[in-house]
Amino acid sequence: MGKNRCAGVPKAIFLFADPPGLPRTHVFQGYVRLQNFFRHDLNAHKRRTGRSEPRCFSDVVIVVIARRLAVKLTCVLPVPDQSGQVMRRIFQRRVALFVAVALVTAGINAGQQPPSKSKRPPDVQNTATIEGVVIYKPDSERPWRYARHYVQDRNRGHLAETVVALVAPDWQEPGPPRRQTTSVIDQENFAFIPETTAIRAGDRVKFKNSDQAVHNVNSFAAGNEFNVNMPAGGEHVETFSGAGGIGDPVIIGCIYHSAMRAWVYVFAHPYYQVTKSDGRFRFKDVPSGKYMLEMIHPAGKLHWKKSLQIKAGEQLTFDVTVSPDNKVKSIRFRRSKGRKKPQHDREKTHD
Amino acid sequence: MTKQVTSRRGALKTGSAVATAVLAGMSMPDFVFPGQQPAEELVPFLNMPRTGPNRLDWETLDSWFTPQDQVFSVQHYGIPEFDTENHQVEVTGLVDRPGTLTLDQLRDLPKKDQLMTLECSGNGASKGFMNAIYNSRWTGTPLAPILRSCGIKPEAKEVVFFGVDRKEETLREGTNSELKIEVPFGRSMSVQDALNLDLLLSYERNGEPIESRNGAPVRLIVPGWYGIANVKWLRRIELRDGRYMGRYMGRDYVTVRGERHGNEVVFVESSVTKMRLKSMVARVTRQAARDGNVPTKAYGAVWSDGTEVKRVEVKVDDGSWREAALDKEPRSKYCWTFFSIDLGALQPGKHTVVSRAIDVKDRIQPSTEDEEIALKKTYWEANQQWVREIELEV
Repeated sequence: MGKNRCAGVPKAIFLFADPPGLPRTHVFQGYVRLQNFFRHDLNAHKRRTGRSEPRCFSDVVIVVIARRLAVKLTCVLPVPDQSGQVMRRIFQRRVALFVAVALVTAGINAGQQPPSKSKRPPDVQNTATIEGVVIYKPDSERPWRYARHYVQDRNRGHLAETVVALVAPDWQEPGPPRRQTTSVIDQENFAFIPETTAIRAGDRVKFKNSDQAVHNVNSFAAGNEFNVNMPAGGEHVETFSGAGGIGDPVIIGCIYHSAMRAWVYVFAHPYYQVTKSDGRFRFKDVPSGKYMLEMIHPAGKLHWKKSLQIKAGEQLTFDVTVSPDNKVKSIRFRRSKGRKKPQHDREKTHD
Repeated sequence: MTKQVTSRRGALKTGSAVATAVLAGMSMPDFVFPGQQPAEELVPFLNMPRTGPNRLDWETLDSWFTPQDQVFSVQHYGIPEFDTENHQVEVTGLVDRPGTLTLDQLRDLPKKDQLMTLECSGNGASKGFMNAIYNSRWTGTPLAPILRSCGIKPEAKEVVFFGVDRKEETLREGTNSELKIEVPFGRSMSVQDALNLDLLLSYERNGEPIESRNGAPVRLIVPGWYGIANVKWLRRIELRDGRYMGRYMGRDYVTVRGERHGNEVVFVESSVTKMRLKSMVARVTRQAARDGNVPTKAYGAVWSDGTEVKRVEVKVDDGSWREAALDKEPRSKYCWTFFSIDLGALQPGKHTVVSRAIDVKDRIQPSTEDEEIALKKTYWEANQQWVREIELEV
């Protein structure tokens, strides 16, 4: 890890440091999970309040107490003979582990309950499906020389590495409780792979350096700022909290190699996809309502959008066809509140 | 929802299917290297990053003059914001008649075009920095007559060029005598070089006003020298009687290279100045396989500090060096020259392709194993041969 951002974590470990009845390996795994949990939680907490103390301190206490109770529960079983005592110890450990893991998991899920009071996405019972293909239509008068990286089938023009998303103005929160996921962005052959990633707010991205050279990974986006050196083989995990949506990606760079770039699109809802080489996208269980279907290709600076009125039970199909006419000056066209344009002047090392 | 985590290695493992699909789908290439036949199709280099914006895209190199959207720019003190319309260039120091030149006065002086390939001295140091080079026409007025008209005093030895850009520098960092001081960006050369190297005070590039990031409104152009010498946002020209040792002359952009003296290797520090002899395979193309082998050609560019290039040679795998054909035109002394070579029908599979340049002084572009590169401890002046990797499918 590149930096210690979590001054409150040792407290949590201290409380967790006396777990009777569990093998040490499981205790260690518990530490790791709790550390990860608190790193995420503290990160969000610190950004909101400027302080490092755990917001969910009581969650730790609950977990530790519950685990002690679980162990005591197994202790009230009748005392068996010598062989049975061995069995009881094994049983005791298994029950304690089960309860502990369940509680830790519950704690994580509880910790991800959104604090926002804004509206959730509409009822998922009343849903439709939207699917389609993103197609790039070239113009020989205005050639896009980098199209070769993104359009593998020139005859069909299927455009890869676009972000397609539904946009509704009242989606402001992550939605129902869910497990935090971790995407991977590697630094390999002096490039971020993949270049374009889309995640939910609160998800993590693990950055890796598979090159032998020293790299760096940074973002100067307000709310998602970090700047970490990456030695060969290094890793860094970052949690992205602010949802900039399709109009305000987190731009990732390497301070030592300015040509290296990547985009992380952070959404407050689940209706987003990054197209593969077939250009296809599909959203199912879309609640009825009014939406904007938007597509952005950050490397090509291509933007497309269409307003939709979706009714329950519909299955809509769209071919999103873009050309140089869809070129935009900037891929950051819709800034969320509190996120400002970065003013940092990245240091350069060559001339 | 969907996450796309694509490994480049994984992509390469399926390279055959993908390459076949790409080649089948390419009815006509969008970009054609001069001399390339329509039936030729690009063979992508393996293990290379995609080219970013404002960098030369080698694989689609199609123009002797580099398009503006592929022109790199690097600034160490940031792009300065200042009144460019009323900008003046000052000539001062050890001259009899110091003075200033407004932009209108500069434009009224004799106009000259300078064709030049401008390369960053770190270009080629790693695969992450391979694209910082461009070729263009700079228009301005020659500097030498201006210096002479100001009356160069006999004691003047050095000409220093200062830009508008400034930054705080720290000297003796971490010591008791640490000093922080704001300085302008500066580079220098001898008076003799300043009078004889066809220096230009340039205000146009490719017939258009210079872009801000490329040094508007006035940039010093030093044909045959690395990019760092071409001072952007030129503000002041000062003649001095001693060495100027600013950061970018004395502490940075200093090449440390080991030289053999008998059995001893002596490391010598020198300021980055003249461009070194260099060539690069820009792209490899193929045609449809015949009898199980793939007809293949290579195209590239060669450049130097203005010293004439005698020939370029290309080698496939561990084969012998074969001479490439240098384009007869377009050519200009300080510009790159394009070359091409028919590599013949190669067997399917992975290959390496590399070029080397040889000039009229019989200097040979070194490989990474040659001591000229192997004993170089800094990344500037990175003119080593660059080995391209390709994979051919039937």
